[in-house]
Formats: sequence, C-alpha cells, structure tokens
Amino acid sequence: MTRERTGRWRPAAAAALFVVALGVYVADAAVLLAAVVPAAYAAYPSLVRPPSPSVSVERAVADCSPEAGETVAVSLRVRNDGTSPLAAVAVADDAPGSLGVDGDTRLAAPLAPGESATTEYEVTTRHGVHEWGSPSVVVRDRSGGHETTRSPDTGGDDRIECRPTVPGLLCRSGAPRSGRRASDARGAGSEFGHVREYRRGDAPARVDWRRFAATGDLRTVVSPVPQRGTLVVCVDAREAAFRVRGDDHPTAVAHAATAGRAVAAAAAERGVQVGAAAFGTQFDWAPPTGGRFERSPAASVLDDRVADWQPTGGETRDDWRQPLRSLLPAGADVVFSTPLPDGTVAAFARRLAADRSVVVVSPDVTQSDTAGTRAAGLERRHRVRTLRNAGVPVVDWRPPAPLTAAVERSGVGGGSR
Amino acid sequence: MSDRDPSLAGSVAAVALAAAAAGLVATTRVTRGVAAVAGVSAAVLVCARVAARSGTAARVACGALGAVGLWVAVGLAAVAPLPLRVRGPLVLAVLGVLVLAFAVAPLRRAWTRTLTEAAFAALLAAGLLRSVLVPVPVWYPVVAVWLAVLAWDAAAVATAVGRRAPGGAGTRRTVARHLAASIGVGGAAAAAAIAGYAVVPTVDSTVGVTALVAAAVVAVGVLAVDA
Repeated sequence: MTRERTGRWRPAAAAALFVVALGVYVADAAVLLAAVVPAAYAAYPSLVRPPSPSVSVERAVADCSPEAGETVAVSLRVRNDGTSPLAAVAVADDAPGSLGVDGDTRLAAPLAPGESATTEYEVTTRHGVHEWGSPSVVVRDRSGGHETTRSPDTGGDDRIECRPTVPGLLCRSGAPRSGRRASDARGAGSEFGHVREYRRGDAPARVDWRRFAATGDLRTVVSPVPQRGTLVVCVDAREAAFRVRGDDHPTAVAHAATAGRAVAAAAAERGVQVGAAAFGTQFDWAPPTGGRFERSPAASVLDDRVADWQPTGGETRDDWRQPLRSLLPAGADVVFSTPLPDGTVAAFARRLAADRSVVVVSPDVTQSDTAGTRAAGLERRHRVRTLRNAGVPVVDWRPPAPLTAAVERSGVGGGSR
Repeated sequence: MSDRDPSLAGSVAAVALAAAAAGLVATTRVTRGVAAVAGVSAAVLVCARVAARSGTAARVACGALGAVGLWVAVGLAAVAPLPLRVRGPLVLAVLGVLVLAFAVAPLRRAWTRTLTEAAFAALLAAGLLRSVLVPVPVWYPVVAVWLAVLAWDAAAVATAVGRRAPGGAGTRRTVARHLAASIGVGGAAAAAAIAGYAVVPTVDSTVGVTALVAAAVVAVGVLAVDA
C-alpha cells in the first residue's frame, strides 16, 4: 500500500499569495480578503484525514472453462469493508493481456461503509490458461489531496482455462484389445482370471454353474480386462514450427502443445498410458504413465515446459529422431502434433507408421495475404495429402476453430471406452 | 470519446462554473451577450464528445461549431465598444472559458493540466482586474475568486477521475460529492472573508505586511508539505 499527497491544491496556495499581494498593492481590503478563499482551499487537504481504506475486491467469471472464441462475462465488485466512508474509489482490473476485452475494466465510485460497486466487462477467449493480476485500487480523500494505492488480494475467480477437447481417442490405443502384457485389471472376457462371489446383476454366462451344481455355491468367473495400450504425444517445437499468423496470435508451437495436451488428456481419461516428447532446440521426454493426466510427467511437458520454449534463432537439433525412436515403447501409438512447416516430421511419421499406429494433428497457421504465405500454405496442404495417401490420418486444425470439429471432420477420432 | 478523457460530468460542471465566472465580469447587456456566446460555445465543444457516439461527422461538426463560437466570443469581447477597464477583464474571462473548454474537450490529453491552470489564471485575473478597475461591492472579488477556483477544481477532478474510470453513475457521483464538499469549503471561506471586511475595512501598512507574511507562510507551508 502506498500513500501520497497529490499536491493538486498547490495552485491555490500560489493564487492566495498573488491575491494578497494585489490587495496590499492596491490597498483594497475586499481584494485582500478574497485571498481567504484560495488559502482555505490550499489548507483543505490538511483538514481532511488521509484515507486508510479497507476494501475487498471479488471477481466473478461466468465460465472458467470456456471454448476458444467464446465471450465470457466478468464482473468485478469492490466493497468498503471499513467503518468510514470513502469519497472516491477507483478500481482497475488487471485482465489478461492475451484476451480481447470488451467493456471497461475500471470503475469509480464513492463508497459508504458496507457499500459495494461493480463493473462488468467481457473477454473473448483464446486457447490456453489466462490469469488475472491483482486489480489496483486507488482511494482519494474528500479534498483529493491524499491518495492511497493498493493491490488487494482478489476473491473469486482469477483464471480461465480454455483447452480444446477431442471426442475420444485418435489412435487405436483406446480400442479394447488383448495384449501380451499382464494387467491387474479384471472384467469380462474369455480368459480365466479368478472366481468371486456372485453379485446381483452378473451375467448368467459368467456364473460358474459347475461349482453351483457341485456345491450349491453361486460364484462368478472374472477375466482379465484387455490392455488399453500406450500413447506418446510428440510436439514439434523446432525453429521452423515457431510460425505465427499475426501479432497477438499464439505461435504454431503453442497450438501444437495445446492440441497435444487435449489428445493426451482424452487418452488418459480412457485408461491409456500417456507419455510425451517435445523436440526442437532441446529434446524433452516424459515416459508413459497411467493415472490422472494432470499429475503425469507428460502433463508437465505439454502444459509447462513446451510453453516456455521460445524461438532462439539457433539450429534445431537434428538428432531428435534417433532418441525418440529408441525411447518409444514397443507397440506404443504415436500422435505427432506439428504445424508441418517442412517435410521432416511428415517423413518420420510415415516411417514410424510402418509398424505402429501414427496420427498427425496439424494446427494450420498459414496465411494467404502474400505470394510467399500462399506458397507455404500450398506446401503444407501437399504434406497433409502425402501423409493421408501413405495411410497416416491427419487432423487438419485451423485455430481458433474447435479442435473437436477438426477431429470429427478428419474421421480419425471417436475411439472410446 | 476516449476512455481516459476527463469525466463528462466534471467537464460540464467546470465549463458551467467558468461561464458563471465570465458572467460575473459581464455587467452590461453587450458583455452578458458575449459571455453567453462563450458559455454556449464551450458547452457545444464539450458535448462534441457525446455527439461522437453518433459518428465522427457529428463530433467534428460540434467541435468546429464550439471552437468557432468561442473564438467569435473572444473577438467580440476584444472589439466591443466599451472602455478598456471593462473590455480587458471581459477578454480575459472569455479567454478563460475558451482555454478551459479546450482543456476538458480535450484538445490534447497531455495539455489538459497546463490548460486548466492557464484557464484558472485567466478567470482569476479577470475577476480581480474588474474588482480593481471598476468600483464593485465587497462580495464581488470574493465570489469572483471562488468561482475561478471552483471552475479549476471541477476541471481538475474531472481529469483525475476520468483518467482512472470512464463515465457512469459512479463517476458522476464521485465528481458530484467532491464538488459539493468543495463548494462547502469555499462557501465557508467566502462567508468568513466577507465577514472579515467588518474587521478590516481598510488596508494600512500593518495589515498589509501581516497579510503578506501570513499568506507567504501558508503558501510555503502548503508547498513544503506537498513536496
């Protein structure tokens, strides 16, 4: 909290001095006494106690998990929690700069004890996690001579997560299938697992009728649940992938990370073990794990680490393919999330597709305003076509359109439990 | 209307108070007419911000009309067939209205504070000059100074509030409460000053020196505390 004098009444002091001097010079008592008025104003701030405000600020965001491009209403309420009235309270919310703001994030009002004032505005969302900062609250006293500035803690909502979702699984990982690996999970199937007590609702075909005939004991045969497989999401963060559609737009790498996260989260939700790799000026790897995606090593790669990568202008390490190939678990499915800025990833994906399921999710940030950008767009479309001709499914996604729609359009999604 | 312009409510109040200060200087039919032209033109200039909501053309038309009207008022005041001791304060007062209107319009946001203080100086000088050059009642210089201070204060608070928050009921209430308190302080001071005339009807050397020293102490004190 900072408290300062604004000095706004200084001209009144100068005016008082001038009027006195003039009154003495012309020896006019009426003019001389007129100096009392500006002198009183000059002394005004000293007669008023500086404000020591006790205010609370609360923000309400209508939807904290909106779709990209949606308009979300935000309201900011400031309340005078103190016992003395506040003559002038000005609040400015610190909305995320990455979001478009419609309306005014500021408000001014005098607040009696217990009184509150609210401002409402709207933000247009974009993919990603967007956080509000602390709003600044400036309180002036009645004279305007003192000003107190503070950034109080804000109650209520302070972030929105705008993450795309995919309808089901992109790879065959999600399709129930038997595998060689052992699994502790149990369910229905042809393979014998163990026998347990009959429970109401068990299928008659699963009942161990032989035991029932011999002992009269009603029991159910449980078989191992088929293995759900492994998925590795690979994000292309090479220098060439740091393309951007325009100022204030996320880079293609950010879109690739966002899409990769959506794919990984959807797979993890369906019991698939999920790993992640990111390659560019660095190589980052998170081995496949099960359980909640948010706590997995893959999430930290896709949510945090790739987001911090910036184009350095340096050379992309060309040796990412060999380590990636060696780290990929046998039989793991692979999703490449890449804007396809060149043919490198497409060629690697085609080679991998020879012995495993590979899907490419490709955010399209190309433009068509110049001949060069049109040529880049054509090249990218050619790479997409080449991949599809080679049997590699491609989700062609043009942010900020919903990823779900792109997946449905490409016909590769929809795998589910 | 930019979202950091002086608050409209405070701007209108400032222009109205400045026009009132100019009206105080105008005592004949001609001079009152000139002051009225200045006041109306200033209001039109400030209201160009409201007209901006109807489109750029409306804003330009209002702005041009207001600006031309203000300059016409200054010209009329300067060439009015009146003695210099009447014409001089009138020209200063109308100039004060013009500068204040341009300050809160605003002509240029970076100039707002400077223009506001220049308008204050012009309005103050107009009232004092008339008090000195023409025989006036005792209350006249006190009220003239009070109106000049109030016009400047309204413009200053409009600028301060407008910089931090846009228009709206809350902003209008903030400006209104500040001005109400300000009028109260000034009113009490003006009453004290007029009452003081009974105690100090003339200015001799003792009163003069005492007043000067007191004013200097107050001024230095205020400046030292604010520094």
